[in-house]
Amino acid sequence: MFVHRLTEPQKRAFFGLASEMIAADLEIADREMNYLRRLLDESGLDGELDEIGGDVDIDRSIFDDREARLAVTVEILIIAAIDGDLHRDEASFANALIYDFGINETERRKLVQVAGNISSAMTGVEQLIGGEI
Amino acid sequence: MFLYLLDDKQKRAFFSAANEMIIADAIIVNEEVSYLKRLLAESGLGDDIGSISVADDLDLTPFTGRAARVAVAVELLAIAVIDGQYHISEAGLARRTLDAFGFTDDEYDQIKRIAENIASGILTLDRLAEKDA
Repeated sequence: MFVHRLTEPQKRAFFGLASEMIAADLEIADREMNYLRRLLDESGLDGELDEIGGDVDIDRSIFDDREARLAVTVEILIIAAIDGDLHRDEASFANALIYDFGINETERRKLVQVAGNISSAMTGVEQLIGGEI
Repeated sequence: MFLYLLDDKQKRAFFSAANEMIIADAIIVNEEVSYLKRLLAESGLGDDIGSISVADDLDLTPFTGRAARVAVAVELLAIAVIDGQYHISEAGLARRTLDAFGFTDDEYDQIKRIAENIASGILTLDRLAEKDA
């Protein structure tokens, strides 16, 4: 949804972070993987998810501008919420990222709301279509 | 956000419809143009979007499946509401399009809520990013 706002190195780092996030609760939901594949399409990067997101040692300082940090945080929150089950380990992962990025409490709440809006939109479309998208 | 549910022919037809929606209220605002740009990026068509029709009657015949119709309806309404104003001429165009697709009044309301969620999410993130600009 917001990955197109990142530079190419940031996109690659994001998919590493996202892979960590998805693995955080030790359960990889189909909805999470489907959303991640859509983000990969949006990114314009060539390759498979496991290749691009395979580097688990991510230097978070690559997200050195505010727009990138906000986009990454929202996407991570969407991934955390998209399977309808915010696991404790996913919440911890997202909170640590928010802390690293210097996002304050007011901003965090707004980003959670944005992620909720986008997740809700996807769920709504699924209901209208009558199947998982 | 949902253009991946369309094939390339449908994507090109969508951009004609989107153009109609943008000019419906005779006011073209930055938010609408920005959203259209993100849809163009998302479409993967690059510069190859073909000719954009400005006919009075939209050609909706390429949108034959339920998923495509839902995607087009949601994106058109997102364009209509993203500037925070749902002009009567935009509402009229949206209503005619959704009626042609066979959506019920309840589905119209649901699609409008989805569009508002998308618009709200994008605008909130944009405003947060602008704080540092």
